[in-house]
Amino acid sequence: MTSMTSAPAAWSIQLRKGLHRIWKAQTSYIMLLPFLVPFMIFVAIPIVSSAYLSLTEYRGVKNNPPVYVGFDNFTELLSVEVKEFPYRVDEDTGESVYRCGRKNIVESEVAAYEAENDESCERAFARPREVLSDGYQEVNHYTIFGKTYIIGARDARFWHALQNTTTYVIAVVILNVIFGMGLALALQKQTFFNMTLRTIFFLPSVTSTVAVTVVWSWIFRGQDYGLINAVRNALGADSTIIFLRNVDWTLPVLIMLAVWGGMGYNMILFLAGLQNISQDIYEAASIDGANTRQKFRFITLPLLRPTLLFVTVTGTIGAFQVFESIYVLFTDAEGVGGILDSGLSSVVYLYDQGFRQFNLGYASAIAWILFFIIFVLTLINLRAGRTREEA
Amino acid sequence: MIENPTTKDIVLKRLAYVPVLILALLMLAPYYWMVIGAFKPAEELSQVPPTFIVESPTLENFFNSNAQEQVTNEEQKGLFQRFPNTEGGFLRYFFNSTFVASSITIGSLLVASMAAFVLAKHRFPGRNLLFLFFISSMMVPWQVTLISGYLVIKEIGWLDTYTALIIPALPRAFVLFFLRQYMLSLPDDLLDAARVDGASEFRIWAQVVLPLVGPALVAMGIFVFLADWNNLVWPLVILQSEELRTLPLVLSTMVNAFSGAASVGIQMAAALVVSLPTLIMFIIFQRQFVRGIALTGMKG
Repeated sequence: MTSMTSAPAAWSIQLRKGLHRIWKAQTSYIMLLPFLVPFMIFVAIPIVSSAYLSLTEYRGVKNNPPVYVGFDNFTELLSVEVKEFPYRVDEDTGESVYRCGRKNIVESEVAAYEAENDESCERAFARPREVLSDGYQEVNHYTIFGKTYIIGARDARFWHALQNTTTYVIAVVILNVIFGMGLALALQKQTFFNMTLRTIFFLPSVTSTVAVTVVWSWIFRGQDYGLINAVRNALGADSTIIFLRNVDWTLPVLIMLAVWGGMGYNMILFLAGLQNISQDIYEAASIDGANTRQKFRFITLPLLRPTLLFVTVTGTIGAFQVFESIYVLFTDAEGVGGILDSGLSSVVYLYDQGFRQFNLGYASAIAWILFFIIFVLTLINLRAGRTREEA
Repeated sequence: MIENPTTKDIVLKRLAYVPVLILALLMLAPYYWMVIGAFKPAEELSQVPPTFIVESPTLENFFNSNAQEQVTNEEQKGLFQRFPNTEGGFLRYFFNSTFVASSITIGSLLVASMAAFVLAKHRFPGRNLLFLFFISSMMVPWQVTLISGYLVIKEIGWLDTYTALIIPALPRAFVLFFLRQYMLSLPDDLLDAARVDGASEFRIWAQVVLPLVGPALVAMGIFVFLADWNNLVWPLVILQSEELRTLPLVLSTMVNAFSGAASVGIQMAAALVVSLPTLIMFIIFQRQFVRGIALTGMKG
């Protein structure tokens, strides 16, 4: 209360007005509470504490609180190096070494060995450990313009997971856009037949991923009674492929599952986009003598751009977080990512670090790196969409 | 249409359907395989080449009346006879999933619609800031809060409870956002008329606003239910006791891709039971489903 004699200061009036408005709005605040309180506890606080956790080492053990370690987790995760990958040289003779099956043979003896054992030999690379700095392990090596480079990282599994995830995301997003748009164009007319087909393509979107993955795991069985192997046998193949235990098949199987499950969903979005295009434009184009291809190229495609952008952005985000299919197909007591981590994705690696190895601080750091990647990808997608629109 | 379609055009159009039809068959194949697998006896499941029509249909994958109680060999038991450590067996898991997903659906719609009403129709200090605060959380992917969310639950002492599955799933920024946008278009006069009649804000929310936003509630409800019926990660992290497990969690533990053919029948039966409710829901609410997606672009 201000006394009658001294005039109240302007700020005090403001404050009282403000408090009064807040007091008057108490019903509004009360009605917000049921959302606000759980939001604070289970969304806002976890986001903030996750940021802090990512700067700590924490094993989730009682009486052992998180220890602040600065950016150590991030340094560990993000340390990569690229080096030229030299061929191996025999230490004694200085000759090049060739790899024949499991044996290392020096250059002068290769020809004889190949002739004798009917094997072809390849030039062997140096040992990764000799090339890379201390604490770094090989992620992969690539040959570009005749030179081979080796990529090493302190946490090679993380980079391996990122590499798998990137391949997966690119393939899934592109294939789902192509199939989704193709289906939308093919099933655009609202006939009964088309509506039935639309329903069929949409079914995977409403089926539990875990359930369909269970079915797929049977279809891809490595025994002769697995559906795909049975079909291959019927077509004359003489050996079974053990799809789920084959490094080369892991990613293709996962990509196939995601395309099977995602194309119908994209189809619905593209159909909604197509519906917004007025028929008048097509008719006008027909009068001007445009053929079907021209109509697609100059009307449909440009006008579907917003949908395309949306599908790409959300598809990228979704694919980047792939977890369930990998968990169902490849996670067992021994590991999480399938044979030789060939199916290890970023989120599965996060799960492994967090809930199997209990490196909770480290796993939080992984989560923030993923957030950052997704954020940047979204920005790039949006930017790319905008410049194309302006052009 | 201006040009008259020629015979060639029509033939071409029909031909364009061939790849679509092949694709549609590939879409249905896993469902077909799941259904017939669920009704094949163990011997037929391991038959080479596999049968494409069930030769001797059986219900033993669901309930095998020949399996003796004392037989410890789980292989012989049907889906609903397994899980001896859980009272009610598989039915209990079905109940868990139904209970948790329904609670989340109803709860999140109530909580979000009330907040959305306030944010759309009330004027008070901090309104825009709060709204921005809520929707900015949509940018953060779920794996960021997976570990810290787990630690919060652990701190509260809710690990391994239904509560831990339900309460954290209630505040959904997207549902709030969607409902608020929908409510912005409601006429203020209508609400004011109710106020003149002496209705409290709670009554206005419950009796005026909610009925008016029915379609939005249905669209959001479908998505929330679907997402939580199929949710694997959160129960996986939170639950330990067998009797609380939800269906996706149970199903994921039943798969061992390298076990024998005998267990496949049970897996197919379980997959069928898990996917049926959402499929039935889809058939019933098909129009709302599709409209909801077109409207929101949100995936369940």
